[in-house]
Amino acid sequence: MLRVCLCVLLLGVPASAQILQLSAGRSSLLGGTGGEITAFFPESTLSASAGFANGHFVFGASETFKIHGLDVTAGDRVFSYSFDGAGLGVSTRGLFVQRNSRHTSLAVFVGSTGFGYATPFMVTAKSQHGGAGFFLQHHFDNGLLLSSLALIDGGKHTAVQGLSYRSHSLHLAGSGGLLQNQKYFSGEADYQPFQNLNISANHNDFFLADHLTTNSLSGFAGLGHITPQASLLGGQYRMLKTTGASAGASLRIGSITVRSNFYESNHRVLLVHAVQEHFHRWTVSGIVSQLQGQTSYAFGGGYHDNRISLSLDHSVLFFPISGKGFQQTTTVQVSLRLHDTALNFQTNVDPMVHIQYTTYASSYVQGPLAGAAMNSQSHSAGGKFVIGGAVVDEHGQPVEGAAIRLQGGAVVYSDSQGKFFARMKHDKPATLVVLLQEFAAPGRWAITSCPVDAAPGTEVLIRLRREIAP
Amino acid sequence: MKRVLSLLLLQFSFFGLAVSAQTVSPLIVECGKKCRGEFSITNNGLTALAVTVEARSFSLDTQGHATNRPLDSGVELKLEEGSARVPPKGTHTFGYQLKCSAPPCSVALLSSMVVGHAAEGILVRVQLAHTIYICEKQKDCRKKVRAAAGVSVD
Repeated sequence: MLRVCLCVLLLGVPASAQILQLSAGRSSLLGGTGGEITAFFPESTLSASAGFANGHFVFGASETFKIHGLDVTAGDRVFSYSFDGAGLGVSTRGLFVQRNSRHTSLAVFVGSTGFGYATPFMVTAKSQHGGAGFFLQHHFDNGLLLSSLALIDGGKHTAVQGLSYRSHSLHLAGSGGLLQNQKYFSGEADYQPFQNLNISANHNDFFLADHLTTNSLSGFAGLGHITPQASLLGGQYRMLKTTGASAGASLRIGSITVRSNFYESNHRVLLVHAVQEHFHRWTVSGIVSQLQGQTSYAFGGGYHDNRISLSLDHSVLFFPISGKGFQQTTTVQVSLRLHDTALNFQTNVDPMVHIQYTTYASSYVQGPLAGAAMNSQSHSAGGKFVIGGAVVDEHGQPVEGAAIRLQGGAVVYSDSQGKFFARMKHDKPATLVVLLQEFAAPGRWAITSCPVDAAPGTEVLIRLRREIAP
Repeated sequence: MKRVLSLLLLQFSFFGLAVSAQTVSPLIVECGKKCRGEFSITNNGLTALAVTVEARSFSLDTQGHATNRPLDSGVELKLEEGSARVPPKGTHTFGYQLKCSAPPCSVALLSSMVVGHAAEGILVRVQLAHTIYICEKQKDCRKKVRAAAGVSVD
């Protein structure tokens, strides 16, 4: 019965929305599969999620709206706040009220707390016990920031105070108190006496399955094309202590960067030498690693444009939880955009040095209230052959925002001078279509004259007439 | 708790910080005599956005205020695209190549945006500038151009 009600909600309510966002995905990092529909109304936003997490059916729904200057969310949401490196996120189901002014931000929550999921494609919560809390943040004009978080989450209590100060060359921050019944302290100092010199130190407490403490001290200096850096890291998780040190330098000459770094942890020494080159939309890197007398080679890189983004990255990360110290990791990221739909795939390395993945798709669709929509593919075909022209009205005045489709799929718009151009891959005439429904220019328009096609290297003239509203 | 932290990290890694309105980045670049670059327009809205790009040369007065004019004859600009449709919550990158025969040159690439389509009313256009300073040498080019114009304010 519950699932039937959810289906009705998912399919029925958004039917009258202006814009719908549909998302679906799967994540091994989060152990869940599911989807979400978000309906954007003129005065509110409604979201509904459903899926499976660790083999169990989970669902969530929320509505967000404004009332008397307050941002209100009713339903499922992650009550998450962070300041100065400290953060807390609790899955909740209830009522949130938030008010932001120039200097002060206040959020209040009342409802129930429990286990939940918050991902780019699904937000759910499972009520387990009652909860309430608030988060207050106030900026003072002298650079001070005061933060205060208080939360009752079943039998767990949180009361954390934070204070930070930022000036031109110095940033100091500290927070402490009780975080879910456990003593907590976090501190951070960042000093930049010159533009090219930075020294920072920090201490953090994390509460995962158990208490994790981390400390770090690092610095870097910019000496022309050369940037030396060094850092000391330490962590303690349960009875396991892990320490590490790294030092190295990078040399940048034009588009080429050469890095050489030394890492030491758990009496193991890792040397990593990398060369990276950027050219236009491409990045190519070659890495040579030396560990305990063994040499290994790896290659990475990426390509980014408006439709597709690919990358294969190799990096060295410090893992204090598993006690493994510095480890080489490889991650893959792929994003593809097709019209208003985005497809994403990304791998992550979890704290236990296991590779996990998350993949999801999201798309925007126009609802019945959306009015005229721009629905055409518009990525440029690219190429060296240019077709250009101008759009004018019945008085010979330029028309800005006229939409013209050229054969091959590209949609171009006229500028403030009424001019437009598109680049074509082939030196042959392309069919020209004026898309009246896609105009960004206000008004109703009719075509007076327009050539059927246009050849590269020629200038076409499109004449329009503004129609009087009936 | 571990799961919640992981979820938050993942959410931030995918979404970054929430911002509103349309944005352009980078705002300013400095180049040598030949310049190849790109800038990105981000549409943080929920409807697609028609963006057109126009180039202008500009000069500065002593207060640092810019006066635009048509592109100088000594500036040769090749835009990869003159317009684009930026999808909701999407980012579009415009590439360009620029040559300046008599440096220094100051060029603004103005991205004009009109949201939606209305049958009646006036055209409301937002313009965001990507500014390019071209000198013989890239280093401190903006500073040199501003100093040459007698700009005393930062």
